[in-house]
Amino acid sequence: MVLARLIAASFWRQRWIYILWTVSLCAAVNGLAVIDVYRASLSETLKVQGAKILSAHVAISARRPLTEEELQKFTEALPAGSRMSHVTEMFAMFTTKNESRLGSLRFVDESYPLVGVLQINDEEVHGNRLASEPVAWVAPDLLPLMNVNEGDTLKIGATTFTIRGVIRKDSSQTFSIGSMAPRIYLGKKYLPATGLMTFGTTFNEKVYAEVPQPVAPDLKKSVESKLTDPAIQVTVPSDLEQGSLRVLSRLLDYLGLVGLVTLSLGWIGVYYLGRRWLMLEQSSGGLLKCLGLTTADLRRLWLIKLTIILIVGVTSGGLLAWAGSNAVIPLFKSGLPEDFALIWSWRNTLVLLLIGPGMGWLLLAENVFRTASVPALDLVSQNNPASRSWRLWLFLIMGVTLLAVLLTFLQARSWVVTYSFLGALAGSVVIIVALALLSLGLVRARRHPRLSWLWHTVTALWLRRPAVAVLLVTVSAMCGLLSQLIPHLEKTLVGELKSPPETERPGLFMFDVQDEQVEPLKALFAKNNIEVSQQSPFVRARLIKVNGTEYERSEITTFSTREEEGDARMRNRGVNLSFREKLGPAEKVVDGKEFNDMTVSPAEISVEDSYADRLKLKIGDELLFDVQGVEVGAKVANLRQVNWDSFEPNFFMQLKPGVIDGAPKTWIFTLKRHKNLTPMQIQKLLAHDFPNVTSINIEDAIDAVSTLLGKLGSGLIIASRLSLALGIFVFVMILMFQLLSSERDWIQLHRQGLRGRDILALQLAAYGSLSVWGALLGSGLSLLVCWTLAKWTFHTRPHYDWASLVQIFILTCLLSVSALVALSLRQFKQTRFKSRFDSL
Amino acid sequence: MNLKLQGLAKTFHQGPTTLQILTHLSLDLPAGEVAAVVGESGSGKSTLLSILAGFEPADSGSISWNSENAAEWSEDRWAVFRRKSIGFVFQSYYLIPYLTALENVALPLRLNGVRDAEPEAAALLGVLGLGQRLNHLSNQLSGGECQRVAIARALIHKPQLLLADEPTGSLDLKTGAQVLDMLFGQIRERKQTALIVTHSAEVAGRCDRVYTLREGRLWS
Repeated sequence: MVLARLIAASFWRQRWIYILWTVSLCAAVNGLAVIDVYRASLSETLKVQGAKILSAHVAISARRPLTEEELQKFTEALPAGSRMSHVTEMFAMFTTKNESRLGSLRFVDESYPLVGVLQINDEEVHGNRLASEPVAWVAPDLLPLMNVNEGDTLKIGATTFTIRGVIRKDSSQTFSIGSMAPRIYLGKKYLPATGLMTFGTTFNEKVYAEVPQPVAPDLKKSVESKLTDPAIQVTVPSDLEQGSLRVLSRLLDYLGLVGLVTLSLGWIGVYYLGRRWLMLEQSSGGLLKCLGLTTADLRRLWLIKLTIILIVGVTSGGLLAWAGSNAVIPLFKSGLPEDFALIWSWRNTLVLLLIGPGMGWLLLAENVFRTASVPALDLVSQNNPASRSWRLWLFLIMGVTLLAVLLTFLQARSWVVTYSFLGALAGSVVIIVALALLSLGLVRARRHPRLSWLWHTVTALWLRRPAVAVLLVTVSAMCGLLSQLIPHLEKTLVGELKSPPETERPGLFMFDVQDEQVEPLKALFAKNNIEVSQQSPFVRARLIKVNGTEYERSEITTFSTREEEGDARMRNRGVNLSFREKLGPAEKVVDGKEFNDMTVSPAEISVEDSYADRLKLKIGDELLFDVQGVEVGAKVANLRQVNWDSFEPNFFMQLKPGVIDGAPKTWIFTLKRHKNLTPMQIQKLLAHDFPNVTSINIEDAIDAVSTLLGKLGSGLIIASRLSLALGIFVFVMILMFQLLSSERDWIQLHRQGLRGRDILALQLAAYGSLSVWGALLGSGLSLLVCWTLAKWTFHTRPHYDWASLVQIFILTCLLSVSALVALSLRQFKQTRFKSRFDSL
Repeated sequence: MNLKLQGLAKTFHQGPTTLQILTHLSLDLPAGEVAAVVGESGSGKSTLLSILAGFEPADSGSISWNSENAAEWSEDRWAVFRRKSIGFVFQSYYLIPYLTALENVALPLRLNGVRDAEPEAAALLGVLGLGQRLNHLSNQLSGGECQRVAIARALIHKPQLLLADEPTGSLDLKTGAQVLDMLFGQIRERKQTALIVTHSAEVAGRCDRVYTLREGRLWS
């Protein structure tokens, strides 16, 4: 009861420090908590709505027709009473009365969708409406894009379909790539008539199944045990996070990492306030001990206070995160499933407890324990408590590191990203601290006795409290680094796509060209003066052995890391082979034999270097492929680097002509930009004469990817701006306490004859310059980190956002200097020398 | 309460220097007696009070409270003893900044389990002339008022021994005299055993017995 009264009195009467502390903690945890709410909601949505999004309880898919035997096995694996629906998906050209365009086609059977909702106009429908006549349901963005209306026709391959409705709700729609390839639903029975299905056509054959409730948890396993061909993918709703919702999931990963930096920045402030709080508590604690409180009582009192503050802080952070999550829904709208609903789960509470009270206890509880055991009179006179033992230091560092690794891994779900991120963060802090210390060392060495009084006092202040100077520089630099890095990265990624490459990009990219269509196609190009940029054969194969060992399908079906997921995908998806006489302009050999020196017998193969890295292949490895039932062996002769942004046909694996020339293949063409014909006009020509050939307008593709990056980027930009705000808040808070604790110094200087404006100049010079120095360091580091990431991670040229850099630099300096002036003036007014400071 | 010290010794080490502050110090303070300890600065007066209140241990010797040897007590035992049996007045009054005058004074009662402590605390503050300042924080009180609050806090729970370290050392003469009147008024009224460390001849003159601390020992 006594403790409760003491706690209540101190919370009320010293409320400003507790409010500041709560606000810091709230701001620190907020960013990460918002991301976590989205993560948990996405998982929950998948759990509840996953079947609707997948349109099934279990589905199988392959990039080839499924055989009767496979369909029979699938049926056998399903419980009695299950229903199935067949769908073929592909990208293909469609033509309206006006023009041609790439469409995302879904040929569905009569029972589609078995699970979920497909609403056309105002009515929920099934595929049977598409079965009686050649009609199409189209995405709403198709109508204005192609200047057509309901009732108009679409020519797809050899068949003409009438637009009979507009898709208003489609529970299977997850991430839309916009107008690049609008979705079109068609009846499956009309697929053969279109003539789109020829040899080598790129498509996805899917069979969806609805099973009686409850769904067995091992349904996926039992289907996989029957269908052992790695080319067949089995999907259940829980796989969607790594499937069609991968983009959103990855975005949340990256936002989570930004949230972690914000959390680190915020925790600098929270830890600083915690130490100040403990200093404030020392003398009262000592008195309480004098009055008869035992060390254990005092520990209890302080730990209860600490815990209350931490819990109030994270609760406020959680409430704010909930409000924030609702507020940013429009930002992610296009990437969210139709029935996505925000929920607060136990996981959110657990993460909040981990990043709030968990972290707080780890960082501050030992301080509390140590301080409470200091003798009463030492506490009263605020003598420094006994120094911390190296074991405790080690324990603390290990604890914080483990917590950081755990939190980062929870966000990134990749050990590589976890270690790179933490390494980069720690490296940045080390560089900033080292530069700050170096600057202080220079100040010490170059401090001339004939310095003006102002700089003499300022440098004395820095040198007397180097820890505070370094802390202020670090906070300012970290918030500058984070808020400037993201605009640089966004510009680098979008810039690489939009900037003119070294060689001119083609205008159209075409695939699914049959062997027998090559010559007529070339004739069409010649007739219309269309220049071919590149022409490459395309052979589908499976890698079956590496150095004589089976290249097994990964048995992992749920992935705990991004690397496992990537590895499994890589192993299961087959390989595309090609052959050419010499390397294209976007390729260069980086290791091994020159491409021209590669032999045909024995066969040698060139592998793209990052692909080789992922498959763990090296020069000299013997690979065995299954090329349409024929085994072909080749030895890795060299590793190749490819500029994928060239949009030329590039391949991970490439041979010389003479090894697989006879294998069944299709062709990929790229066309140079035409002086008179637009890509759309050429697409119309192609769609008319070669309806099965798919062509992509490269400018459209670049725009679609840029839009996508823009959407992802805007989330990251918001997160970085919040970090900037939090960083400045922490900077100002530290500054405020610094000014307060130096009050006696200022009064002393005033007594020595300094005017108010002299003291203000002194404070501006001392702390304003630290803020500017920190912001400069942060700006410099953001350029360095962007350059490093561009060169080593994205393998591209960095593009710096100079406008953002200047804006953020000026904003950081202005805000911190304005806050400093405001704090100083407030302090002058509150001192007993008010009248004299009034001259300001 | 009888306080008996025998052979008390205390040494401080400051780098290579060893300072023998107390050496074979003995004292016998019967219940109800008020004693003053005077001595030069650095002679060990405050150290003696700290040892008597259990703030720091003696190197050797015995501290006997009613025949119980307190030198062997644990830190927690000392804390409980202070809570129940000792009142302490510091030179710099040391009030808890986030508690009002009334709450500061009521605190020792509350620590001893008294639920309705405020009326008693208010009454004592009224006697000490602070009836109008009950709800003021320490930064809203003058030095003399703060010291009176500190005295009230030291006496409120009727301790068996009052220890005071230069109780008027930080006050001006006039305020110091007023505070002293109140302190001794209360001590005499309550027949309180007290040990007061002071430099002031006036304070020493009001005590029943005066000891001088010199060369680590008490001389009467």
